Amino acid sequence: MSYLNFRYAARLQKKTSALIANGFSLVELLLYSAISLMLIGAAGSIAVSETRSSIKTYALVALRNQIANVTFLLEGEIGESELISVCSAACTVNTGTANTPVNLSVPYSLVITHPYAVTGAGRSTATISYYGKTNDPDLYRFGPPFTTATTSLDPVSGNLGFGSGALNTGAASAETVASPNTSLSSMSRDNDERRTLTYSITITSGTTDRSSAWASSLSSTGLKVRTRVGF
Amino acid sequence: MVPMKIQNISKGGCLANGFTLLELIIAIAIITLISAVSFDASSRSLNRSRVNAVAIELAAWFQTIRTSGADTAFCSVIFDPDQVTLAQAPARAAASRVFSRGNRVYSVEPAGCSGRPDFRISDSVGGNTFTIWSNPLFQFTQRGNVIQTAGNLVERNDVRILMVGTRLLRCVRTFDSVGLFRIGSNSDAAGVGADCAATSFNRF
Repeated sequence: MSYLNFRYAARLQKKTSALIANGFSLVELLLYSAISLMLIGAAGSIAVSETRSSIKTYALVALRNQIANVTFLLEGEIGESELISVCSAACTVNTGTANTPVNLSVPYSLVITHPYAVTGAGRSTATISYYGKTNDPDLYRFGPPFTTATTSLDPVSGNLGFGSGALNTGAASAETVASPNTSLSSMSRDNDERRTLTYSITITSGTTDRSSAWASSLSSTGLKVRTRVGF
Repeated sequence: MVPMKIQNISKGGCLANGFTLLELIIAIAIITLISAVSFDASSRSLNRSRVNAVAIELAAWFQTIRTSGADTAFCSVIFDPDQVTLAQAPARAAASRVFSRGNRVYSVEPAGCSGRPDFRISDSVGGNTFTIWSNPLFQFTQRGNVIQTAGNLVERNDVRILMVGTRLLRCVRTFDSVGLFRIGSNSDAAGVGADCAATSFNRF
């Protein structure tokens, strides 16, 4: 029994010593390297995929928030208006004043007419235009700026109001980027009542490189909003 | 009994000699170089994460106030409230201040506009400090707009956050009409006066 053990131990020592003395063979080294590279590659691939997924999620959440913001603004403006008109091709919007118009050619436009009463004077209207520009991804707004004043909506007099954020009709109208990388499309106004707008909205992250994780686009179609003030 | 090959190695081979001084120096130099590169990369990555965190948290805080503005008359956000009151803010110009962990950067009035009545630099930034350039006052309307100056409706980088000791700048851009906040970056900014390129927004 002890003789067998001795022989086994001696053989094992011989093998171990040979391995230490010889080191790895080229084939073993290549094999280990290949396995290590595969493992590192797999781990790296998972990490990159995880990062891209996080970026994509963040980008989509940001776009979803932006769509909510834009639709809230449009619904507020249209809701308190008395008239809307849409144009889907070769449109013109006035970015000047009634007396000195500055006509701008745009690919599409949504024009909203607001009624309001001037103290001591008759009813008047303010015009707000939303439009895109050729070779420009942004949605623009031209119209009276907003104020922090709090007014109440009076459908009889037509006073403008949306709590705070009422339109400052006394100030000059200004052009601003209402929402970046945003376009309105499929706009149609109800032909009978002329007070309901159906529209679609598309927002992109602005990244044109499709291989980028930031490149995202989100659309909402068939949205409907109706003016509340009728005359 | 000991095989001849092993005998030879143990007498004059590499097992007996170990590393030479030159081999050791080269090995240490390579390890140092790799460590320095990886430390530098991870340090920059950590700094980027920290400055991004401040910008993302701020934009999210603004967003919650914008949302709750619909239930309030309007909400006012004041920059550097320890130095400036709501009454003083409209007359102030945009300015920069240095903030570190726990410092109050903005406050909101009325306090009910947000679950957090002020915005402070969070503990996650560690020992880093930030120079923040900002407009003195933001007002959020019930319509969802952000108003800074009456009648002024322009988009701009209203808040700039620079990590002190680095060139990492983050910009929080406001779109007044729609009440939108976007974050842009400039990783080679000379100072807080620098700007973030339009193409950098939401790709920091």
